[in-house]
Amino acid sequence: MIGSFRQSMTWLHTWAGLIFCWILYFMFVTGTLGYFDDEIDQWMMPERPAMQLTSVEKSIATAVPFLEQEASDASRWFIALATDRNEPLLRVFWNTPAAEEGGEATNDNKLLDVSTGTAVDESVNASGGGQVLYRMHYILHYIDRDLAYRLIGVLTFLMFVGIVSGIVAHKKIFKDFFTFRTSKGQRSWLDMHNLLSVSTLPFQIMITYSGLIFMIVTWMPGIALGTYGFDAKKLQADGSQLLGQTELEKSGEAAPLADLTAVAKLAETRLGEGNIAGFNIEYPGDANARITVNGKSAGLSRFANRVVFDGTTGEITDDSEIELNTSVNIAATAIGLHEGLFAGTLLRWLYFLSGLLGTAMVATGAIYWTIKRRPADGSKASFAYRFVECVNIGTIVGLLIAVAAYFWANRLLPEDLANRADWEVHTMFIVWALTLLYPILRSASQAWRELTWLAAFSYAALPLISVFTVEQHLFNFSEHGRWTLAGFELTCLFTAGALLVASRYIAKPTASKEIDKEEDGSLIPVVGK
Amino acid sequence: MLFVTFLVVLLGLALISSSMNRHVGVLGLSASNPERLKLFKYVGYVALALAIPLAIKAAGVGLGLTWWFALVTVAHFSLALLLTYLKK
Repeated sequence: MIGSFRQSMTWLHTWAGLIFCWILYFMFVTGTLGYFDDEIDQWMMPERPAMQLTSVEKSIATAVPFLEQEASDASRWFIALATDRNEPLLRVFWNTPAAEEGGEATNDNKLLDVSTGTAVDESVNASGGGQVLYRMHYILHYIDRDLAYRLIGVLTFLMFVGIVSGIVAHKKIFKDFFTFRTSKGQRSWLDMHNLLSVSTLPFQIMITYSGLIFMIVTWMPGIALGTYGFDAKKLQADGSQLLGQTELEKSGEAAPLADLTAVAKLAETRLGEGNIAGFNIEYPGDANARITVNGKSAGLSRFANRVVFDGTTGEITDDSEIELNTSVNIAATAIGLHEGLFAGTLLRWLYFLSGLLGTAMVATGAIYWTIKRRPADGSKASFAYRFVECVNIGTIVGLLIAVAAYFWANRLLPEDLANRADWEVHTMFIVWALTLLYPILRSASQAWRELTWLAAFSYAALPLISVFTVEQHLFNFSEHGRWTLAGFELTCLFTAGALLVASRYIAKPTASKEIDKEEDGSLIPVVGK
Repeated sequence: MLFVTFLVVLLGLALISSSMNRHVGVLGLSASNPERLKLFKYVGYVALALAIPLAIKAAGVGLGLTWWFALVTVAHFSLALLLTYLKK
C-alpha cells in the first residue's frame, strides 16, 4: 500500500488508467459509434434498399422459395424479419452440415429485397459498414477472436477497477459535483475529467459491469469446466436447455414443411399481433422438423418469448413461455442494457451522448497525466513522457481522423476492388498509424492543433465527397426520403464544427501559472520542441 | 411525460447546485441564509426522487429507470457547463 488507502487508490487509478487508456479510448469510440451501427450501415451502403417493413406473409413468400432453392440440404434455416432499425431488411441464414465425415459444416446468410423477391448483391460496393466498427470494440481487429475476448475482458475489468478507484480517489466528489473551473491549466483538465466521470458514472458502471457479464464464460471458465469438464457438447446442450431449447434428432424421413403463414398466424395469437421477429426452422423437409417462432424482445431484456411448432403438422408442441431462471434473467437484462437495442431514437441519442462523454472522460484523464508531469522550466522531457504525449495525440485525435478515413475509403475505393471491405479497415489503421507518427515530427502544441484541424476537415468534407461519388447525398436525401443518411452527414458536419472549436481552445492561452510559462501560449504543454 | 420528467430532474439538480457554497452566488443568492440553502438542497433531492415515479409512469419500470439515469446525466452535465458559463 502506498501511504493511505486513498493514496493507494489514486496510484492505482493513475497508472492502470494511463497504461490502458488508449485501448479503452478505442473501445469507447468504436462502441459509441456502435449505437448507430445500422445508420452507418445505411450511409456506407446507400445502394441497398432502405428499411423494408413488410407483412409477415410477404416476407415468408420471399424467404421460403429462396431457401428451398439455395439451401435445400441445410440442417437449419433462420428467417429474420425486417422489424425495426435493428433489423431493417429481411435476412435469411442457413447451416449446411458437412458433406462427408470429418468435413466442416458451413453457415451462410443473404439479405433479401422483398420488393423484387431476390437476394441483394452484397459483393458490389462491399463494405464493412457500421457493424465492423461496432465489433471492433469487443473483438478488436487483426488478432484472434479468443485472444481479443480475453484481452477485452481484462481491459473491461481494469475499467471497472478504474471507476471504483476513481470514486475513492476523488475525495471532494460531492463538493465538486458541478465544478468546472476554466482557464486554470491542469486544474481545468482535472475538473473536466471529474465532471465527465461524475456525470456519466451510472452509465460507466452499467456499461462496464454488463460488459463483464458478456464475457462471463470467457472469464469464469472454471464453473463450466468443473461441471462439464471438456464436454463442450453437453455444456452447449445444457445452455440451450436454460433458454428453453431441447435437442432434436433428424429422422431421415422426408416430409413437407408446414405452411409458415398459418404457423405465423397461430403464433401471433400467443405472441401478439405484429410481434414476430423471426422463424427458426430445424431440419426443414424432414419428418422431425421443428419450427420455433421468436417474438420481439420486450423491455430491456435481450431474450423474447417464442412458440414452438411441429414442423410438418404446424401444431403447437410447446407454447410455454420460457421460464428463465434469475441468473439468466439478470444477464439478459444487463446485456440488453449494454446493447441498448430497445432504445428509441431519443434514448439512443442519449446513449450515444453518454458514450461520447465517457470517451471524453478517458481522453481528459490521459491529457491530465501529461500536463501534471510536464517538465518544469522548459527542460527536456524524458523519452517516456514524450512517448506518452505522442501516443496521446496520435490516439485521441488520430483515431477520430482514422474513423473519418474509414468513411472516406468507403466512398473513394473502387467499387470492384477485391476485398474492398477489408481495405476500408486497412485504410483506417494505416491512417491511425500515420497520425501516431506525426507528433514525433512536430511539437506537441503544433501536433494537437494541426491534427485537430485535419480531423475537422476530414468530417466536414464527407458530405462533399458523397456529392461526387454516390447518387444520394445531403442535397437530395429529401427526394429519396432517406433522412437517416442526412442525419449521418449532418452529424459529420457538427463533429467538424466541434473539432474546430476544440482546436481554438487547444491554442487558447490561459491565466494559469503553468500555462503562462509557455512561450506560444498554448494550453497543451509544449515538450520536445 | 418524459419532458416533464426532464424538467423536474433539471429543477432538482438546479436547486441542489444552488445550495452549494461554490455555486450559491451564481444565481444571485446569498450564502448567509443557511436555512434557505438547506431547504433548496432537500427540495432538490425530493424533486430528483419525484422524477423517478414520473419516468416509470411514462415508460415502465426498466425503461423508465434507464430514462431517469440518462436524463440525470444530460441535465447534470448541461447544468455544470451552464454554471461555469454564468460564473465567468
